[in-house]
Amino acid sequence: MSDAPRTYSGSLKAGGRRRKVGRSVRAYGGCLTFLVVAFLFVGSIYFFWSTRDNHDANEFVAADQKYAFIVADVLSNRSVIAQSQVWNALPPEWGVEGIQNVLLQESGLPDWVLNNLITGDIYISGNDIDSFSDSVLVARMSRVGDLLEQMHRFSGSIEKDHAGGLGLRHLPEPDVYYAVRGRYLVASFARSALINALTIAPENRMAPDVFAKTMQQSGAEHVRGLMAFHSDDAWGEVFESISFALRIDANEAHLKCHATLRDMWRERFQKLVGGVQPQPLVMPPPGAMAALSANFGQSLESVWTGLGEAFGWTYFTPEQWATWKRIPDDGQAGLPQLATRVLGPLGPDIRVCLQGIDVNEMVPAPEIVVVAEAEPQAVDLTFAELAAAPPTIAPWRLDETQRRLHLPMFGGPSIEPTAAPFEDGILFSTSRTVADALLGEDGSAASAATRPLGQVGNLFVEVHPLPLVEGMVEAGRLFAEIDGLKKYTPETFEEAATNWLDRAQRVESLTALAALQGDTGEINAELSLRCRAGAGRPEAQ
Amino acid sequence: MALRRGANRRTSIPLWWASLLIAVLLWTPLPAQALEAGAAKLPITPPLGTPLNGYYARLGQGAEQVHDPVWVRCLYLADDDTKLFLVNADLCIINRELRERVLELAPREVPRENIILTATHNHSAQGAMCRNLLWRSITGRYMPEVLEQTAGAFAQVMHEALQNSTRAAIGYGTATQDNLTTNRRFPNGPRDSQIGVLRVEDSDGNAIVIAANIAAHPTTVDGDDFMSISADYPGYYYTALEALSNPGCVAMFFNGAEGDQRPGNPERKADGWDLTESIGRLLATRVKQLANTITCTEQPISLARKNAVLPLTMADSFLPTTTILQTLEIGDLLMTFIPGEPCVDIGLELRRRALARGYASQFTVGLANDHAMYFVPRELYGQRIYESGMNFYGPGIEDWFYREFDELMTRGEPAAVPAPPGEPALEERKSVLYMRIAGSPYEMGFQQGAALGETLRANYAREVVARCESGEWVPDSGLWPLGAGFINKTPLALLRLGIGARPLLAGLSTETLSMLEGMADGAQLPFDALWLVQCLPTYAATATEETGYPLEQMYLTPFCTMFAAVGDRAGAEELLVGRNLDWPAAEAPLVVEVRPDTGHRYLQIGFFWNLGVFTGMNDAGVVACVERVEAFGQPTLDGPPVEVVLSEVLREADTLNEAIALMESAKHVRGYSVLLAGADAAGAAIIEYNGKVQVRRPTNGIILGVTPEARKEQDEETDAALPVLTVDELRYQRVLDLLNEERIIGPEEIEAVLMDRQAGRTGKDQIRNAWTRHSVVFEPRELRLRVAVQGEDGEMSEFETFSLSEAGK
Repeated sequence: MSDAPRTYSGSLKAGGRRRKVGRSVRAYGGCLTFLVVAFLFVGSIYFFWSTRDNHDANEFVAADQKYAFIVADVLSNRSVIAQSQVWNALPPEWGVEGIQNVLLQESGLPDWVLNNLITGDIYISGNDIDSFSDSVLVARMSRVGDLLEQMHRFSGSIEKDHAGGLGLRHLPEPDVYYAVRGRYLVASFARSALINALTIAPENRMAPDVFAKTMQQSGAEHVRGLMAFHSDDAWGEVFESISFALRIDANEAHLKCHATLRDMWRERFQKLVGGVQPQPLVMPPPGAMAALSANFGQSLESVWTGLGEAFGWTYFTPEQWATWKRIPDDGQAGLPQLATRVLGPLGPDIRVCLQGIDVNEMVPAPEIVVVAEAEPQAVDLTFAELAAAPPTIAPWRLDETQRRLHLPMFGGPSIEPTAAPFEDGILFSTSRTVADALLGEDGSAASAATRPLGQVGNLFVEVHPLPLVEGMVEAGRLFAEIDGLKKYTPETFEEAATNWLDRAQRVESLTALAALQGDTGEINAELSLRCRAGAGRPEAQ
Repeated sequence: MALRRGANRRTSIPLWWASLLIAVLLWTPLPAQALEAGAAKLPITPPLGTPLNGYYARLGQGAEQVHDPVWVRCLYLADDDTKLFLVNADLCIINRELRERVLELAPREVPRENIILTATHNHSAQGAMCRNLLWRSITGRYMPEVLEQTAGAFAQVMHEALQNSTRAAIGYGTATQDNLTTNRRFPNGPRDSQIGVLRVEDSDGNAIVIAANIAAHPTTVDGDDFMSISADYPGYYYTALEALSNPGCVAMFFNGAEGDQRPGNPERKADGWDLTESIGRLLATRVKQLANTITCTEQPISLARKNAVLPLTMADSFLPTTTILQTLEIGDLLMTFIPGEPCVDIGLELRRRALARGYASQFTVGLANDHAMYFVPRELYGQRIYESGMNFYGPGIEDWFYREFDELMTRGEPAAVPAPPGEPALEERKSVLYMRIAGSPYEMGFQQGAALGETLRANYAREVVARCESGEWVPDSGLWPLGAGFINKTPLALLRLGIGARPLLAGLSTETLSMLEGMADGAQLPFDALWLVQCLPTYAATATEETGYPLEQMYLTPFCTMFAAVGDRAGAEELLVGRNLDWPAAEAPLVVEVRPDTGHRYLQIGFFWNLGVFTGMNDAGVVACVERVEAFGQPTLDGPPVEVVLSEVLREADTLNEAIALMESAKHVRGYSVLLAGADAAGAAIIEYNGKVQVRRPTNGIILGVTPEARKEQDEETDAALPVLTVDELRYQRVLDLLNEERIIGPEEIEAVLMDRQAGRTGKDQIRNAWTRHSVVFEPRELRLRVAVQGEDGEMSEFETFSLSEAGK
């Protein structure tokens, strides 16, 4: 290559050409700008016009829906709910794995797309309360989501369904039908249900204010719902309606329910529930595998005879109770006299708990404790009568010093029912060992069993699954070892037990509190499931 | 050269002396090996409230007082080759949990397999040590702390015995007693009159241990003291003997073959502690007297041990399938340790065999190392006594012990164990399956069981186990309905059935019993299961009232046709028998030729599962057939099924009269009709069991299983008296009509009658019907029979001829 300097001078032709081009660009640029602006303008108009919000959600909801569920901000809560330990704690037979899988499933769509397709709460409703097969989902989209849906129609993965002009779309893979009205996405697995939802006559639609009230969140729940039953529905014989609110956190689930008893049922059980009002409840004795605290405002004898009236059971009549209670003329008192005299005065406050299972007894024996309120005079009278009964013929043994009544049967102390008066009632246990431990020398230890629960209601239940399952497995193992369990060999029982224990150890406790307004037939209930943190991790399927 | 010879002499002298010395050393018996012994005792009295072992009647409730302490006592013995602990405890049994824990805690100086744990079978000491739920019904609730304390005391007493060990000598002696023990089931039943005594003394002649061995249940504590803790009569024995002996002497007690033995009452004491004390004191006095005569020396000791597989049992859910057998030889004495409660006959037989093998004496020690319940001799197995009901390993358990201990004895030669009999082949002859079994009764049974085991096991599973599993055969009375739905009651229901079938063995010959045992072993079924299968038809016929089970659903009651032509009517044959077996269950027929070592050969035609004879003939020309006759009533459960009795008749009877006599003696049979025929007399008879035993003879040369006797009944419409026949009579009337068509009846005519399907009839009133499984024509004079069987297609095969004559083999 030569190093000789070269000089160039711009030719007019060239310079002129550049100028010419510049002019041309400016000329064309102006045109392009115009086109772009015009396109954007038209596009914007189309965007705003095609995504205009010209429908209300209540248009797709009939006024007489039997059930409705509102899922709050599902996309935001999805991850927390899906990762919750609660799913691992629930029995697999309930199909929860499917729900968890759906929540954990990758949709294949970016989050921003999903967030635009479903904004806020979704509303699910229908009438088939047995199978929920006619559920219709109503979700609100953003304008972008609406536009994306319109663009997605051209992707080929969506089938058009003219449906008499309703313009349905069908997603073959999950077999879902949907339609878009304004910014609302209306979807259902049942084509007919979707068509019904899109063609509700204005007079049959849910009123806007009612709908708005329904959608209003009452607390921090993730899902809330309402089910209204007809009398021929599965639960309709008992309930008119049930509403609920559910929240699922990382290690806990809380369910609040409100149910209304059907009048017919309320009348039938008038004697049992008629005057029932929520009461301050008392804690069951501590350390139980499972415990119950109840107060229905009446004694056990009244409950017994009330059941007879409700169901027409022969042995639940006041006459039968009186027969059992009466000591025969020959003085041959027996178990019926003991049972009716000790148990009859109990109530209205009754606490029952399963303290343990003694697997070392002659047969594995559940150790049950009943602590019940009772009229002091009735208790005194009962013990006085029993003390007067000839010891040689009475099957029980009365320790008059400690005022404890024992009923030796076969085996050891865990199969020796024991009763003793304490404070305002009676403590009864199927196990002498447990009764003695709770009562102490002078009955003072039992006062630990009288702490207030701090809540008002009629029924409180608490279950600790792990010790309960451990006890049952240990008892079951003893039967399995002697080929005493149907369907299980010792080996298959161990396999099953491992599974049961694995499930049980995931749950810390299960509690339920129910309150009944006897005059209105309304029941309020709260259920809580607490899991052990880190006791098992859900995995995406 | 001379020098060399002298040198040789010098070297050969020391060699000669050395050789002589070696020879003398070899010739002279070695001195006894150095023996060391030590003993110790510790109380193991449990705390009050601990459930006592031994009686269901205590309902698992706790002890209320201590009358006297209960003990564990230990003897440590060691020579150059063997170290062992011999432990006796005042417990009811040595259960597995206790044994395992004791072996974990025991001193390491003695190998685990050299620890012998025995219980006195005291019924007034702690239970509470069994984890097994079924055992808890006797031992009470499981108290791990009681197990731990008791096992700890066992270990501690071993440690102390070891620490107390010193140079010792040992000896033994025996004496007889005629009133210290007695048979608790039979007033003059067998008893063991031997008192065995073992004496161990130190180098100064002071007794370290004096141990007694007699056979009697320590069950004298009763009445108001039922809930008291006590060592029973062994406790008084210990106290009395130790008072009579030098200080430091430890009294020990080893119970013998006490299954059916209890203490006597020589001093005529009333029940109570006086009686307990009397027995203990008298025993101690006798033992001390005997011990004083024993010269102790340094005798060699040796132990043998085997983990033995027990015979099959239906109780395998809660009883062991393997157990520990041990023997201890002390000089010429053999001690045999049995893991349970043998009845005295077994102990006596073990002694007889030990003496025959060259031992001078033998002690049987029961309740050792394990507890597999009672062991009764074969002849008691079918008796309705407690010990038999608690024997779960079949009637052959005694032989099992003899065989196993034969191996463990070191003196003499063990009896040769016969090789298992071969499995016979099934032959098919014109669609008729045939099998030949031969040998001793056990061998024949084994062959049949081995060849047909699959069918037998399937029958048992289908007809018995499945019905218990479905709940159909689980009783609905007593405690049976109790318990949650998930409880599997099948193992107990099977056990109940098995035990319930044992009384049907009463009166059975030892040959048949042995054959059944062989069949069970061959089929790999527990004996009770095999016997249950044999009894199913009888159970079926007894239906629900006596058994409590709806057994009629198992096999519908069989109905049959059987008849004989005798004398001139049978022409030259002189005797012909025809027989159809109508059996509602569709089971494959089989012809079995039985060739016993002793007794008659016979052919029986039945099914794959039955040992008894429904249809058969022996080589003396005796024919036997059986038919259920509902009008005669329900069969009893007081003896073997009639078909099993018939198998004995064919094996034993030479003549018709002998056969009749044998069947007339079967008083327990009811509800059947049996046809017997004999070539010797060219005659036949029907034995009717209708509450009485009646023998019916042929009329006009013909005899029928059921004689048609038309009764007159008023017809409601015409008011005329019309003859009425039962279905069975209708069938037999047809037989009679057909036979009467011929003046002389030959085998072909019999065949024709058996194959008759009269038009217009479809059920039981037909001679050959849908349920006819086999048809047989017997020619007893020729020792020949022709058999046709129903095939899978429901059609009868051609008649195939079988012969029992030598020429026809």
